[in-house]
Amino acid sequence: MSDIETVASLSLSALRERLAGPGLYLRTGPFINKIRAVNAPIAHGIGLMYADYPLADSTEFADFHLGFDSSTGWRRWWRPQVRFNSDGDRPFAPLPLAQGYAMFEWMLNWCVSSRAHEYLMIHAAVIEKEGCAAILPAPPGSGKSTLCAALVHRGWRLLSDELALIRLADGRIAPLPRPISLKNASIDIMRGYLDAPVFSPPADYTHKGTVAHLKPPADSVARAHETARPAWIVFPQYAAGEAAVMTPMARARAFMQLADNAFNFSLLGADGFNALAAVIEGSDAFTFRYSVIDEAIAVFAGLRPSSP
Amino acid sequence: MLHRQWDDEFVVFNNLSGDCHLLDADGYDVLMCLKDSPAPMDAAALARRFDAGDADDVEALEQLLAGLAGCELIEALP
Repeated sequence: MSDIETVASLSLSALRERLAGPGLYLRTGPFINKIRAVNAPIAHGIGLMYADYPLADSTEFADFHLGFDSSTGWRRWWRPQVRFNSDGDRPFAPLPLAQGYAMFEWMLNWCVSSRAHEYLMIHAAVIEKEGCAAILPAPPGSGKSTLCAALVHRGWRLLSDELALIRLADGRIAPLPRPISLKNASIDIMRGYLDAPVFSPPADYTHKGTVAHLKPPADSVARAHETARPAWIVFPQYAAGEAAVMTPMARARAFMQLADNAFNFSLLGADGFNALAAVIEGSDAFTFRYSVIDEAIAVFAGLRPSSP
Repeated sequence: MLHRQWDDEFVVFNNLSGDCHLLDADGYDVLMCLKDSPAPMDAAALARRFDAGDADDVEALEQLLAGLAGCELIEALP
């Protein structure tokens, strides 16, 4: 039996006290996040979505400091809002309290994507099987998260729904498994597709529409220290009514599209270029159009790494 | 400037701008020719270098040079 303290080892009242007081030191992949929050939806969401996640000791160095509190002034009584601060700065406008948990997830993403420059960071889902990772970069509306949610419940391990973290040192992908962000119709699709999925309460009227987060598989969380080598780059596109088809893609074109989806490609300069080139040279690239999830899963099951 | 070639396409990284560009073989050859040239070259000079001297070739090279300049991979001199 493991003696690692997890979020689940705290009662909800103890979790709230820690969040409102000294802060919760939460491990997500390679990062330690110090989180302070007085807002009930955030405490509830963390308790629900991060139950399996290990806690760090408060004496450890925290990579990111995230604070959430309530807007002040008379308006808080009829339109309560959540405010975010990071190291004393308030870089974003407050959001309605009902969107508090979604805001927490977005701010965690922001912390990583704006600061973790020891990685080449690509806006992509990443899944793994037998040590090989498939990178799924895609713009909003492509069905990336829906596809990712299905695949990680059908034999693939979740490395990330949002951020491919490619280590500059060795080109391997560091897992950052976190709740999967689903939007609008995808929420009900996954409710119907998965067995007993655990969702955060939906946040309506966000800038992305209705958003709910899906709890990641416990196995993916437990294996967050196991890196993977990039083996496939798949650009998914949901296309209503079409059969699932994976089409090989020219490497140079895949490079350009990956660079477009990277958060810090230009910032990293030559290191970013060389890291991305190594990913391309070690991977097969495809475009992928699909409409039926089970067909998509069958096509992914046929992927075989072409080089060691 | 860094680059990689895959099949008949080239990806070129401009260290100064931090941008990446996709070039075909013609674009890459012209870029390398300009890079290695001790003096500036125009389309006519490039056409002579590549033994492509008719008017269509020069016009195509002018368009290619304009494209490379638009990407800030080369600089147009006054």
